[in-house]
Amino acid sequence: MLRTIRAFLWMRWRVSRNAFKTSRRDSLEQISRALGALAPVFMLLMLVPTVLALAAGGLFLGWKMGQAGTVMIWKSFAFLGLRGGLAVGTITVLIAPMVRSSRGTGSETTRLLLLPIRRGMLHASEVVAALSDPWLGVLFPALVLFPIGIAIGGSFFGGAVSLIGAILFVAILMLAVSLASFFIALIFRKRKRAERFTAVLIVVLSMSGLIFGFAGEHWENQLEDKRDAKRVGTEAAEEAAARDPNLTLSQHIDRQLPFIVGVLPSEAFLRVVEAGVDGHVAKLGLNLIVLAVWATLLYSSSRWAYSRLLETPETGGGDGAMGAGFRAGTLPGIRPAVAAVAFATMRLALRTVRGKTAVYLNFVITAMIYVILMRELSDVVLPTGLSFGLGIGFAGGFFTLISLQPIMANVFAIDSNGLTLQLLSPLSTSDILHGKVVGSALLVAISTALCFGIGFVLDANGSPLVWLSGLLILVAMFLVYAPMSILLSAVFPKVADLSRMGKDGNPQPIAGFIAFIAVPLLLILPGLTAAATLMIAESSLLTLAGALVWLGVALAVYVVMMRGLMGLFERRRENLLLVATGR
Amino acid sequence: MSLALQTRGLTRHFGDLTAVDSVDLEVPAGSFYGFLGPNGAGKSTTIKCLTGLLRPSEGEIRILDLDPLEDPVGVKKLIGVLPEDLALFDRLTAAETLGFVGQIHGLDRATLEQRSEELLTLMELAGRKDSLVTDYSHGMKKKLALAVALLPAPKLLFLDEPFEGIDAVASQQIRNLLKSYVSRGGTIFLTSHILQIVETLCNQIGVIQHGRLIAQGSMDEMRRGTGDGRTLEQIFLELVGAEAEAASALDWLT
Repeated sequence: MLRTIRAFLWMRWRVSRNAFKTSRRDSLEQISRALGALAPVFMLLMLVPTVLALAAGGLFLGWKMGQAGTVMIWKSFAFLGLRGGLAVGTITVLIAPMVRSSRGTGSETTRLLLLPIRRGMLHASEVVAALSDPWLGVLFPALVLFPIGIAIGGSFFGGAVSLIGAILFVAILMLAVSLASFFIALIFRKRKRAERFTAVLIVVLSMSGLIFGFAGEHWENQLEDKRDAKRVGTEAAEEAAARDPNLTLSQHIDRQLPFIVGVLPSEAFLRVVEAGVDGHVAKLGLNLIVLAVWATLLYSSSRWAYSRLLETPETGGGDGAMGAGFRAGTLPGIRPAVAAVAFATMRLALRTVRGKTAVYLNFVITAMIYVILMRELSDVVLPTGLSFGLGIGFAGGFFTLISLQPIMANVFAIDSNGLTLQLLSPLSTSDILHGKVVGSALLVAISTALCFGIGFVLDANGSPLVWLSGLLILVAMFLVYAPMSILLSAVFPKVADLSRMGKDGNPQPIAGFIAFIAVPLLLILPGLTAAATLMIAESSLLTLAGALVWLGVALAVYVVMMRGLMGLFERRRENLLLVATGR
Repeated sequence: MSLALQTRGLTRHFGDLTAVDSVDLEVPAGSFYGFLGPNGAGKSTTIKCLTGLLRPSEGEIRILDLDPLEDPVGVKKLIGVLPEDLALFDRLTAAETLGFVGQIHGLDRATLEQRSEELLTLMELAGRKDSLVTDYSHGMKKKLALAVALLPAPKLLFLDEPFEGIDAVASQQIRNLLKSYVSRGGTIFLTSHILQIVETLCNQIGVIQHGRLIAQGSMDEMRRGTGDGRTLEQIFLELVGAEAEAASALDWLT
């Protein structure tokens, strides 16, 4: 088994290292890759203080717990903190595989099946690999040091049984993470199913922050009532604890919780610790059995799910007819070749999860924000010419530019092998670049039109000149943002699957960051101009004039930048091709 | 003899590696040219240089009397390419892919639809023309990529391993199609490892090894150079010096 694990570790290390080695990529690409690789390293470094703090906390709490007989209050607080922390940690560890899998299956099961390794061993390797899960990695040192702290604190028996409990609990978490990962990977075996799952996940994650606000005061009151009740319950438990010093705070709270809570792994583990420290052998044995049953059940389920995963082939699942027949699409005033590239770019984006959500989700979120804001701001008097509807439409357009960053800041590499087709076709560099800009413009236009439409339906007040100014400012922003995105796409290309969340679907981190901050920066000057003309001069006409001036400036910047980008694209085309085709 | 394709000293470096080294190709117009070589010999890199995907480090290229470095768009209007990575958009349908290529080549709608329908029928893809390419098998993608290469009716066709992953029936149909294309004056530059097919199709052969063109000429000239009555496979193995290696090697292999 050690030999197999060593071989797997070596293989993963070499794969990571070799990603930087190839004589075919130019030096700019190697720098881009190195910068891209620094992002996860930076994240990992950020985790180190958390891991150290939790480990030290675990050791300290364990030490205090070991002295339970003399410092009862510490035991109580320690238990409360641990119970909450472990419950949250367990849930996080279980949710993480869902998000991670939607970033990419990372499955090499077919290759692994061809190796002379038994399925049981493969399964064990995958389960052990769950330790590399960052969330589990954060919890693991604290869970191991906690029993050691108990032993140092004076309760050797408590420390020993807590260590057994901790090992069982970690095993349960590893098996649960593996089981969740295998199930999600099974979902991802079918492309369409995977895309639906990812879309639902994105919508749920995007909306979750808005739900409380949307539900409004009613929910807040209800939550406040619940908090009061909980506070009263805790206070009652504290009073009861004060009246009966033989019972800990945890024990009082236990009496108020349903039975089922007691058999949850995190609870069973802490009851093992409590019973070990207190010397209650019967309670200790019972809770160890609960942990063992959990481990056995999860092992069997995880083994079954893994077998299913190995036997389930990947399928597309998309036999339904779609598309526009043999028409590539034309646009008035646009050369057919440019329009062909533009429509291909738009279709590609709209047939991916990231593209669909970026284009179609903005107006829903925008409308929800409007409803929430109107609760708080309905009495606010806006400057003459402005309306909340326009604000909503403009905000929607603004967020569209931000949310299209995965597409616009990586507009060549997302074509994958389609980029080769464009480079083999009789298209000039200008055709390709302008086609990409027009394609992005179509995406922005769809989403912005939806947002302005919903804004207009909700509140059509305000001066038409200011409405027009809002649109022109967005166009001006786009005219600078588009060539900037082309520049980022040419300098920092990255293989990306827009049907994945997270890093597999994101642009190169540096490109993503620059594109992200560029949108608000581009708004500053036109925004200030519009604010000054509306609030100081109080003239809608001046607002429109200001917007037109910025549009002219943006157009000049666009022309100059696009000329410069032609040469850059020519110099980068071989590298773009290598990256887009995954080499 | 007019040449559809000619190179002089074609060279391409990747860092310290010279993938293509001073290659002088001569492909007569109307010929079926088989470009052979072992794996990693430089075949695909040569095709990429010829089709404008890679810029040569040194050398000259003439394609149908045009210089692809000076007039890349003009050359691309005249050629069709089936590259090794197939060059297809995953998230377009077959019909949309053909529509994309047809519109870029300036085909009118009636011509585009007629040619597309015929090609898709020949490639047995008509029933799946509105499915996304990502849901196609490798063989279906290859057939579509071939249809894309043929759609603009090019004067010169570059085919990189066109028969790999294609079933026997489709392979036969494609061979007939390509023969008919050449008989009508088209020129094909083809790479393939299936030497039996190359032997039946090609009338001109070029062999590349370690980036260098080690032989070039008609099939008859090749046979004369290595001995009459020999198959293309025998000629090829002799040229690349691979005949006697396997017998004594790997004696531990039972």
